[in-house]
Amino acid sequence: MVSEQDLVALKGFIDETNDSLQDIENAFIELERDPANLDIITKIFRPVHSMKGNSGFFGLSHINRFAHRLEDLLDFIRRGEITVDKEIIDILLTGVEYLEGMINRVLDNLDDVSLRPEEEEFLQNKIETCKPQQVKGSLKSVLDLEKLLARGDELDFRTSDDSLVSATLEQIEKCNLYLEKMVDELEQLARISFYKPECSYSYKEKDCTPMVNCFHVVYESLVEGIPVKGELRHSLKEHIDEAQHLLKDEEQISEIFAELTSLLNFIDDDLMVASREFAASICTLLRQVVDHFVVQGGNLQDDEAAAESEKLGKILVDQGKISPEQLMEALSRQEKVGDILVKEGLISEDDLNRALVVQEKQLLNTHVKRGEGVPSGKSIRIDQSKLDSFAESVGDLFITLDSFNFLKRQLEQASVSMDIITRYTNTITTMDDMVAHLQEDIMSVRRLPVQILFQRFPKVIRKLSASLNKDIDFRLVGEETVIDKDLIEDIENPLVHILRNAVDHGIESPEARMNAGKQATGVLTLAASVDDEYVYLVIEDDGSGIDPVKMKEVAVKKGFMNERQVNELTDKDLVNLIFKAGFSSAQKISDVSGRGVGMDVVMSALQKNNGVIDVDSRVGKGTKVTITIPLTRTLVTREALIVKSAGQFFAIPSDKVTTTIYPEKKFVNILQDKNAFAYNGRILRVIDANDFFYGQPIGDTLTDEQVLVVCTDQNMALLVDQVFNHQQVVVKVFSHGYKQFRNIPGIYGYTVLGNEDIVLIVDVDKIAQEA
Amino acid sequence: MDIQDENIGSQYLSFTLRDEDFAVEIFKVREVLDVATLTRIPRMPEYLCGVINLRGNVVPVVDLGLKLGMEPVVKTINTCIMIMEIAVEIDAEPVLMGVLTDAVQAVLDLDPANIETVPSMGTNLNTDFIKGMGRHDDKFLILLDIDKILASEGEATLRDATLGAVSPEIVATEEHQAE
Repeated sequence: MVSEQDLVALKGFIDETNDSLQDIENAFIELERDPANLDIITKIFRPVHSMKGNSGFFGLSHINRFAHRLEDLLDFIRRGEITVDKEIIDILLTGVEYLEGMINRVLDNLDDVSLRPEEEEFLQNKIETCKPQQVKGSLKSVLDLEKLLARGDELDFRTSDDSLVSATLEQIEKCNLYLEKMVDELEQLARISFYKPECSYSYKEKDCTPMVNCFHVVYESLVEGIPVKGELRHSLKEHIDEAQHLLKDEEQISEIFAELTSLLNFIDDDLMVASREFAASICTLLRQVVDHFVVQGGNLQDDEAAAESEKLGKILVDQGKISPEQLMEALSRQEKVGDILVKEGLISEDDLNRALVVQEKQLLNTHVKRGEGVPSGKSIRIDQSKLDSFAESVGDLFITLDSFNFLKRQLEQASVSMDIITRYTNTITTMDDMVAHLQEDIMSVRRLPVQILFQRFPKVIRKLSASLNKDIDFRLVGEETVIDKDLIEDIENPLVHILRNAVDHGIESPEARMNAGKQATGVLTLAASVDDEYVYLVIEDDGSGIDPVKMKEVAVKKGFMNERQVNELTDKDLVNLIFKAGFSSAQKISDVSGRGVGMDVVMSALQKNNGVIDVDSRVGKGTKVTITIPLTRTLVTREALIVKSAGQFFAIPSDKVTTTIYPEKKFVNILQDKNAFAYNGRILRVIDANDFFYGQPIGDTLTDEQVLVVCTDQNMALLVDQVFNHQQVVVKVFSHGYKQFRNIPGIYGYTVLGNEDIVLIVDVDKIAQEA
Repeated sequence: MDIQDENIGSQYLSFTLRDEDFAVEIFKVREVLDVATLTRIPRMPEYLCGVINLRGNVVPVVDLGLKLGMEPVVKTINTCIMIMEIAVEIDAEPVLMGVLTDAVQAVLDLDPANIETVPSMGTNLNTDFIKGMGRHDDKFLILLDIDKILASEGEATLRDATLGAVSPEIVATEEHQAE
């Protein structure tokens, strides 16, 4: 049985993995477009690697194994052994899909760590066949070197003898030559591979072979000629452990080269003194380089590799050559290269300190580089509902604050000293500021980058365009734009619909595009941006555009309009007809779109957020859909006019109210007529709020208090019984528990006034539509 | 309905509605309030007489008289709102709902032996909404299944619609006969 705590950790792992799989998928698609881009591969490596590690930690051996194989494949790509093409990307994406499946079924049965047959088959037949043969060869030689190192270590240990410390100068000279050659090779390799990432990452066979040969020779001469004392053996061990631990990133290698070079200079100065330290360091560095290759060339069989890399110190201890205590003691005796140098008088302490500063800087750079893209300890995952409840509380605070203002007015009426009232007012003002601040904070926490939504699209588009045999370059712009998380959820469906439409109906087949004199690859862009008031989402394609003439035909044929109405419309109006329900001008209906149900889904989703959609299209040039959504916040305060109708208070958002008019006698007649009157040269509809909301018309005669609330935007006026003041209200929507209240015609939500009464907030636009 | 059902507790809150005695399990009742300002929600069934502000929460209030297909509750000094926890959907979080009644009476201990099932045959009571008939002193109380009543759409009539409307008085008489 799994403990509660483990389960929480496991769920965290699953969440995280699902997130990173999403990233990986998109990175693959990006990679397909830009195969030479090393950064992408590096970006993919990290999550795959941690997935591998974490799944092992949770005992999910099947995921561990699968991720491992995928990582192998990636490594071949990284080293240029495999060229990135569509086939490889397909395999990788399928692999990610399988991983997703595995991750999602983890919780179903924690004990089931087997691969499904199709997954096993995928590993055997797809991934394994991708691996290039020559890689196996070169890895073999690295492995041989490993064996040699291990054997050399043993030999060396047995024969180490202080008398041999005085090795001949020739031997060291010989060694030195080889080393120089090796360093040259390594540096060359480093330049190609690490310093110029724009060059393709090339650990090609021809680059590796001389280096590997160098290693062989260097090591052999070291073994023969330079004795390594027992304690240095242990320092070697420590270096190895450290190297194995650290050597995951390429930056490390360049550090090794730097150290190697400095060691060479050092040997030129005083060969004899250097010999022991030098030999040990060289061994370490060689081991690091080899380890690097072994780690990167992960296609050695797991157990084989594990056996090869069994820790040297452990071997020695196991073999009874040394005791663990001796090992520890030896380790503590080890001196730093710099200290030795100073002791020998080769460099001054100043030199050392200067060098250390440089080293520290380099290290710092390495850490900074490694820190990229890795979530720092400063961010935490929290439950959405906690966030919502926090926002809710802040909203309630606003209402409470309003109660204070209400109390203040009552105090003013009571005979309380001015002094107290002033102090009271000051307190309220301070609190007002603080609450506003709190609101701003919580709202910013709720804002997330649209990337979390956008990153799902490239895969969708890729699949879609493949199934339609279209060639599409899909670009995302402004993924870093942050908007409220609820809004992100709401725009998903509209965006999917519009993007699908663009792929299906907008962008033409490559042949058609060539014939039209365009690039065979269509460009589809999704861009997000935000300013103080609105979120803008722009979907633009360079496809065939929407033909207003065709729209006209369809509109008439489907009976939306008659010939005359259609002719009155501008081209732009015609194009915007696509948002009518049941309207699809596509010649053939496909799985993708064309049933005419998509676009009105878009509309209703947007209306919920008061969004506006606009289409701009030119035949043959392309279509640009712009969605503009006001920055809605769950915690919105807005100014509203408080009115009374049918004995109930209502709040009408002030920005919708043009003016209020006391209907004079002359209006009455008009009212009785067809409920309309003239205002500023417009004919405004009169909607009786009593009637609209409660089905109780005010009646023929109007009282002195009745007021027309004019909303010119909607060409209407709401007739209410009484009008009060404008005031700030907190906009709230009815909670999920009371779904029946969420769709009341003409009611947006509610607010609570200072006297704690619930007041409904009127949705003027909806009233205009419904009445 | 099986009265051995573990959901039937032994403590009940009794209340009156149009001179008839009802009771609900005490654990369903969160609190009892005086009638506060009710905000009427447009275009809602008549029995939903509005919402109240319960310490910052919006809580809908149902006129139990109307909900049960009887006369509306007439507001007097005794009128009160029972705030109840209602399981609208299985497994969902219970929601709070107010129930407007004529008067709350007392908390009663009802021995399961004093609770009788409503026979599904030979009566015109709608067994869907009634958990049983409880006897206390000389009175019969109708034990309501408040979850089902409040979660149902429209009127939750206690009289079986197929048998036609029966006035509460007749039911009361029948109860006394049963006694």
